[in-house]
Amino acid sequence: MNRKIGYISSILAFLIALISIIPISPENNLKISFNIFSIDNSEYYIWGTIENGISSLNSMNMNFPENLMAIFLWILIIFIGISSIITALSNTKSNNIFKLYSLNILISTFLITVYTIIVFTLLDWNDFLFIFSILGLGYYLILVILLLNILSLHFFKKSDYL
Amino acid sequence: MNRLGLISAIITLLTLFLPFIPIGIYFWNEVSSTVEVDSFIKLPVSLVNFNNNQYFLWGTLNQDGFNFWVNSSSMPFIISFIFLSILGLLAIIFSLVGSTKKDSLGKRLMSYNFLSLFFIILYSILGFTIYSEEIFGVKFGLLEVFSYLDYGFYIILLNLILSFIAFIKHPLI
Repeated sequence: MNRKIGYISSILAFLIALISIIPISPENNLKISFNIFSIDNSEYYIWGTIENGISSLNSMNMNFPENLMAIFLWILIIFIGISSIITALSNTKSNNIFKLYSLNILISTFLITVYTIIVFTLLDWNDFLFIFSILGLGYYLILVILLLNILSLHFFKKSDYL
Repeated sequence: MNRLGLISAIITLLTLFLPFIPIGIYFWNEVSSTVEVDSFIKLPVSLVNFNNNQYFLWGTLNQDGFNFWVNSSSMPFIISFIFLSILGLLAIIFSLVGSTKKDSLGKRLMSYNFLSLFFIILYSILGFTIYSEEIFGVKFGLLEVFSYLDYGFYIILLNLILSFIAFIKHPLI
């Protein structure tokens, strides 16, 4: 069970980190977009921004040290992807698995907190439900990764590995 | 299996065979409404970026096209081929083979991986400074190359640290 959850959370993390849009039916404008949140025509991903289908301001492409924050956030999600695979492998030491689950939970909580603060600063507080039209699939997937890791840690503690 | 060694091999593979890491991959161009696989961000893995000319482990890239280090009769380019492309390839082989062997040979191969990456780093700083006139067309001063280092250099520097940890933690039966 834990192994499957590890693979799922690593796939989700890599999707958020590397993929922007997967078209399902382009004629009907049906697509899976991995944006964290979107306002008007701008879509904000973990790696940058797209405006009207064209890459706009991307802090990752900027010069040092402006790019550090964007690269840091991107490396965090890549780390979740790699560490989730490592936890899913059969010959990983149980002590290391415990540490990696804890780290994954810590990182995904940090990411969720950062993006929640950003969304809250952009939010019109008179219409709070507007938050659900802003948030994108990427945000929910980070939330899913967090829940999966908490679930894995719970199952792991219940088992006799420790 | 030494997992850190495997990760080190994958990172060296990325820097040796790719010009950039695609981030924000899309399969449909919304502007032209055509099927297209591309990415919004291309994180370059070049060691040095000088006047929009990128210098990789495998060769150089500019507006006119790409050129492998080996495709030149100039001595500095051949030396760059040996110290960057050949050592890069050896680092991949050493870390791939070494990470699967849980004996002293595996540990020795992991140390060779570390040394290969160390010499790549050393050449990127010293070699590019010594042969700057032939490679870049401009004579670099001491440590001037540091102003032109790109993502690839820092990725290899991180890889060097990773390979050292992989060497220290290499499992022995």
